Amino acid sequence: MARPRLPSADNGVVDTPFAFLNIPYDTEFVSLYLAYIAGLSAFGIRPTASLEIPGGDRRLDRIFTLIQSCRYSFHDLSRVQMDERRPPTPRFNMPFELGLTVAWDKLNPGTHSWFVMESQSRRVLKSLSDLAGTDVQIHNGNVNGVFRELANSLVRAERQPPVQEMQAIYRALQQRLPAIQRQAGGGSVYGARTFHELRLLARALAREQTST
Amino acid sequence: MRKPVLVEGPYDTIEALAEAGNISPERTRELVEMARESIANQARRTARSKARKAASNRGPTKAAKR
Repeated sequence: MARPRLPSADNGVVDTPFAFLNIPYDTEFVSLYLAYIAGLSAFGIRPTASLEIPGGDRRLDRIFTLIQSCRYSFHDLSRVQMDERRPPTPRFNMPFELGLTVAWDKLNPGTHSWFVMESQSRRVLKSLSDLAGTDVQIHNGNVNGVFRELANSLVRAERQPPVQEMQAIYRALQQRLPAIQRQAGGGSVYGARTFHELRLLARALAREQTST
Repeated sequence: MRKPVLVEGPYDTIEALAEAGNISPERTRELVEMARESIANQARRTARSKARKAASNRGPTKAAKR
């Protein structure tokens, strides 16, 4: 079965593997969000996320298409917890999207590699015991932990950037984020336009790093 | 010598990046410039800090000792 491509995908213009980022969109996660963008870009991988999906479309179909169009996916379950805003509700989106990915991988072996990220070891065995026997990458909730675990996950990737390179890209993204947000008209750091610009900046930074 | 970046080959042009990134070519150019500036700034900072470290390892100059 041919792997579907999104209309917004590169379609051969730029030869870059995609990675689906299944992460929480909350203010306490911003530094790790930038770390994922920086780290993946250093590996020459293009991050993509459900925040790129425009409103009004059938969201679930678009998310599944997005997952299918990616070579890799990273599922960060470190903040699968109760959202205290009324009515208090547990957050199911991330484990649900992980389930979709696992099903896609099972039905199409060898086309997709998925990785589960957590901040605490063994917590996943309680929150999602079906994953028993799966290696979970523990990033300890910090930026360097994300870089370390991306490097551990992507040992077979073509490019193997040093952590210092990821750190340099991360610092530049962090520094430029306020200007990028202003340019996008303010609002959430998780807006689609902000994400596109951060991703492009990270890619350009990675290219600059390798050329110096 | 620095290699030319983001201008060589069909994959690295501003237009290709802009098309792939859903961003206008003008804004793409700005972001690429931002990236170059950031890397240059970081390189300058690293060089300054290395120079400071080297100076502190050399100890006081002859003039200062007198």
